[in-house]
Amino acid sequence: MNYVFQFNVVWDHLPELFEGARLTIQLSATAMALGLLVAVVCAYGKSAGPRPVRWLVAAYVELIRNTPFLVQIFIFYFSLPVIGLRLTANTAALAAMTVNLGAYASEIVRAGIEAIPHGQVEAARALGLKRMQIFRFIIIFPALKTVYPALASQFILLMLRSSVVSTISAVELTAITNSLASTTFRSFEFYFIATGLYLAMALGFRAGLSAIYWALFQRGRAA
Amino acid sequence: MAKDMGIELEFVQVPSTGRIPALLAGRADVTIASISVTTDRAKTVMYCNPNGALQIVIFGPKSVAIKTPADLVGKRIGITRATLEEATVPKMAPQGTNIVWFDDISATSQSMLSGQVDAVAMTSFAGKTAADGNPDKQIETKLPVTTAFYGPIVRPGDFELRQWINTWLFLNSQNGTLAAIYKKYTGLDLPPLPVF
Repeated sequence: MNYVFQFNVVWDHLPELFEGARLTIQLSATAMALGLLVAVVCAYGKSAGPRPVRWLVAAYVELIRNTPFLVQIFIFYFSLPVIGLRLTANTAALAAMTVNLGAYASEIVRAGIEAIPHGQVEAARALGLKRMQIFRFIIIFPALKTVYPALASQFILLMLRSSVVSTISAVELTAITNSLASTTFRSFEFYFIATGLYLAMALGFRAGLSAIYWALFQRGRAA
Repeated sequence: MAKDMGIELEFVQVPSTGRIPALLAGRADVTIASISVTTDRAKTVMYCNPNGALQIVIFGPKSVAIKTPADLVGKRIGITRATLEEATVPKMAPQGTNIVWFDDISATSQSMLSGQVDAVAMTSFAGKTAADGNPDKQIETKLPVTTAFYGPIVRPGDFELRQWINTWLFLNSQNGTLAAIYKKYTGLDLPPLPVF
């Protein structure tokens, strides 16, 4: 193969690539926060809610976990306008990412909740803690601590999965890379750089998530 | 062409964005989709003589009023990456046109049919397919953008392969085979093809 790598064209377009990476980070971080919220609500509903709620959550989780992400994005972007709900590409992407992460993470959080010994909850009740206090301090906080590593992996996977949203014209890193590669024809160079940026973002998110773990669960405690 | 060359034909199917990368990476030896001749592409690959022509047209539902390029201002126009549309529409569209990029033609068509964009730019073949398949949407041609000739591409330096393909194209435009193929798949008469 007599291909000559020319990286100078890539350096000219670095600001655009960074702009794409910024949207990837923004979409992923927002979806992580909203998805975790969905996951906690669903996990609680599934482990402690009335039977119809449990069925509803189970249906949601099974539906999302057993269908491709690409199809879910298409439904949010192309099918919702049929019922009069027209989302922009970025909003549709964020909604699809949140719904997708919510399903995966809710099963992880549920595992954490079910790992809480029942005696711990009974003890809290005996001490006179209110329902919300029990949920907050006795159930969800220790549960999240237990499953944090699994959640963090899921968050990173979500960030990498976000590359698919370029198909509905959201201009994140993959979209920018595709555009630049197709207009400059230096695809290898641009995909190399995009790979490097994704790797850097994944490591950055991992470091950030570790910092959050430390701040929430370890600060001020003996090792 | 493969039969005349005496070799076994293997199709390597790629999306439009992957056509040039697949060729350069050696996954395919010739790319012979409708890859129109542009000077930018010619910096990376080598063109054979044209084997067909296509028209890029702006399509939209009847309800969207586009009569001149100036009407594009404020409208959302869907185009597909790595196509001739991408190379021509941004140049003809006035400032204020909102261009929306998709990765493949089916997503671009779908964006028009679902109303996510006001109109799309694509080849007359692709637009006709979308219009015929969805008569209730009343898709019509709005504006011609450009007419372009397309030809097979080979890797830089593959002069012998290029020369053989040009010879084949010469013979088969003389005996009417190319025109018959074009008519069969587009329903149109093949315009006279210029050569390099």
